[in-house]
Amino acid sequence: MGLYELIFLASFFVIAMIVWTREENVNRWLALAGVATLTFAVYADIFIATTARQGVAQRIFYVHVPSAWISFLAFFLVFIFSVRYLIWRNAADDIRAYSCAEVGMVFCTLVLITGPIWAHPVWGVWWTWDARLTTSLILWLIYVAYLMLRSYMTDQEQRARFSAVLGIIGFIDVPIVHMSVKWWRTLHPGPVIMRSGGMGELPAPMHIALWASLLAFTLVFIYFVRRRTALEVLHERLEAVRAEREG
Amino acid sequence: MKFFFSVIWAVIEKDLRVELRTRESLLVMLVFALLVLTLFSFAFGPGLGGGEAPIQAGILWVAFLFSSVIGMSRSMGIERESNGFSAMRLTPADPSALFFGKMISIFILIAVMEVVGFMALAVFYRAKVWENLGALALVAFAATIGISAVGTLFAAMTARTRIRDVLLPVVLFPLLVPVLIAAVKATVAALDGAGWADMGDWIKMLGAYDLIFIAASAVTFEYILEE
Repeated sequence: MGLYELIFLASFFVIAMIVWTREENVNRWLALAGVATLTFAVYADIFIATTARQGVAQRIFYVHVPSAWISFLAFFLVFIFSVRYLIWRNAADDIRAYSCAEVGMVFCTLVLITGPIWAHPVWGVWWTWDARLTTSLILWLIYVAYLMLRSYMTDQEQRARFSAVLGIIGFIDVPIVHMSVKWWRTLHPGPVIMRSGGMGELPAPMHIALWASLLAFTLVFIYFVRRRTALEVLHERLEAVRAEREG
Repeated sequence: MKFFFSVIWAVIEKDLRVELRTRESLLVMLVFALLVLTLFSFAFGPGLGGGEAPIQAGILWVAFLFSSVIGMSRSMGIERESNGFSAMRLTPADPSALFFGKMISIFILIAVMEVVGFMALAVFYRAKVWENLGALALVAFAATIGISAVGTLFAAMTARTRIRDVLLPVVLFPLLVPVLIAAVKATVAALDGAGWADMGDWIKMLGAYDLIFIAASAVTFEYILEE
């Protein structure tokens, strides 16, 4: 495992901690930092030159790649909170897993929308059954299954348990899906950000723009998840009060 | 350890006895698999057959997947209707022993259906099943283990949701994508008589999938049984 993988893995856990913390002020700082980096990222994404070969279509890359990163990150968090739930049976973990899945679903949808928009001018087709595209699609379908399973269950405790199991099995499945589809066929442009042996073939300004976008998307994602979690907590409290009144 | 295996055997024996007396699941599975095989023939036109291993393998495994889902949801539906889950929870048995019992009985159902499916493939699509029987049996065995492991877990889960069986394919099929890909590719190699060099990697992938998901499903099954 190289340095970059270690940094990636560490950032997963840092993000999990921020999602998990209860501190109210965090939301305010997150919103502020999110807006600031997003502004910078948008500025950088628009004013940095594109590659000659791809032209303006290349700019969608700054939305596409961060969204893909977020959709995998979110599913990782679903896994973490699902495991936590099954061990400690704390309803808060279930709510966090649910919030991560819902917000992750939004970003995964973004990946599937921006991908074809880019692919059409560059590859000449809207869709190909390439390994990464297909893995994203399957990930999206697993998200759909997760959210559907939840919506068809009423008993809170049972819903939490069942969806935690799906969150865990689904997460284990994604790398295997990726591997099997990769063996099946592949066409996606190779990794251009990180290659073994350091930074890939992207020009330096593009790196800055991409990292800014990644940071901005991550902050916005954490902010969304935290607000969604708070909303779900309120919603459940409301349901409890309603149930109490009806006796 | 002896108790562990006797629990597994008790569950299998119970399921097979129910099946022998009612003959509900297997009959529906068989008819359904044959129906899907026939429908594909209509969808692709009457010219199909002979020398089209990729299409034959694809048709075969889609039919097997659909038919398996029917068998699994029926097997778990019986448990739900007769409060089998509650009875299982009352026994001192290890949840993973109950899982293996259900998994093996579902595996047997699917395997019987597959034997008939392969015969139908040989007849309807003139596939070279007899010539490559050993290789095909190996592929079918490895793939069916994976299907029944994940399927048992999620059939037990969706049997207890509001819309029941309708949800099972939605949850199960995305998770089974690696099995479908590997099974189809290995079946193509087997039908072409290609030997281990061409199908070895796919068999290994199926083996890895089986091990990972038998372990994961056996461990998480107890969270499905809880009430």
